[in-house]
Amino acid sequence: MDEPLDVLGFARGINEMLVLAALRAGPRHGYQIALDTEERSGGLFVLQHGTLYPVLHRLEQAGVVESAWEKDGGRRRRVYALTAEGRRRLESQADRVDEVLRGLLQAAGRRA
Amino acid sequence: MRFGARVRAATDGLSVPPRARVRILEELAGDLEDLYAALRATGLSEREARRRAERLLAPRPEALNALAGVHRPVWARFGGTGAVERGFVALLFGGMVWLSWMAVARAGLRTGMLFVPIAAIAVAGAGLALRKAVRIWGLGESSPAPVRAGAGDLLVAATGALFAACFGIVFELWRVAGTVEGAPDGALPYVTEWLRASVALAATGIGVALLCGLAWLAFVQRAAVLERAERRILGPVLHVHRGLDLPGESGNGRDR
Repeated sequence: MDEPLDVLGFARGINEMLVLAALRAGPRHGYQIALDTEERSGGLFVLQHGTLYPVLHRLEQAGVVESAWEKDGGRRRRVYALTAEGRRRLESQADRVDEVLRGLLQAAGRRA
Repeated sequence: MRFGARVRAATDGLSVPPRARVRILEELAGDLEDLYAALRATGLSEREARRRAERLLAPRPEALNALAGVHRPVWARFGGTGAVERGFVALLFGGMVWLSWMAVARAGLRTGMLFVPIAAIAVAGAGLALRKAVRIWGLGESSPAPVRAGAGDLLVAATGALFAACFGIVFELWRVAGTVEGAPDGALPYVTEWLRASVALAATGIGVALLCGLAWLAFVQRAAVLERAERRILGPVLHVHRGLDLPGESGNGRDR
């Protein structure tokens, strides 16, 4: 590992990574992202207490995701999609998580 | 909209520019509604679907603070919202006090002191109006409740200015009457001075009252525009006191 681990920053990045991971399969509405995340993680991760929207809006401002209104039966819904930059960031974050978890398990003696 | 009142109540204190607020309200309420429908389609009861939808998506204060941070205007992020607002208001308020003092000092009227209460009310009203204006148009406050809050104080200031002007005119008349009573032959200059002072007091009082009234109207209109925008997004407004237990709004088993 090249640089020391910022534990708090790493923990904060988990929400961001979960949102990006949910969008990898294709464009989603906010509530679909929340449901997907809960289902895909087997209930381990729940994007609750409205943490979803600040993360989504921040990612959009950073150009990592893009969004547009979609009309469905007279009701408008905001649909989010990954940008090319978002795909790169997701890959980079997944590598980082993999690296951190391997180091952690190694330190705990669970992996050689 | 089923979650309209819930979203509206939860986002009362959300301080972001109007455009961002409209987007956030519409997005939150729409997603809550869709998630509720999706959960109902899986066979969940109304109560359980509502509970789960709110658990997943209903906004909480910490999330609203984070959203406000994301959407705050770039220039307002330097030094924090409060610091910028206080700086602007202190500068403008100080300028108003200085200008008012100079105007009274240079008036050259013996009755100059009668203008002091009106000037004080004008300065207080200007301070109130400037503070709200900076908050609304400078920092992008878009919640109807804070925009409306305190606007009534401007009407109090307007009434105070009129009252102070009337009091000044009557007081000056009483003083002049006492002087004329002692020297009836030289009454004309005193009466002329009283008339001049009365016109000046009335003009100043009415002017300050009008400006305070216009500022009040501007804030109330702004709040009405924001409320209409919310109604358009979230459906009919139920203006209720916070904490009132509405059927179907609290997950207490009385769902519609």
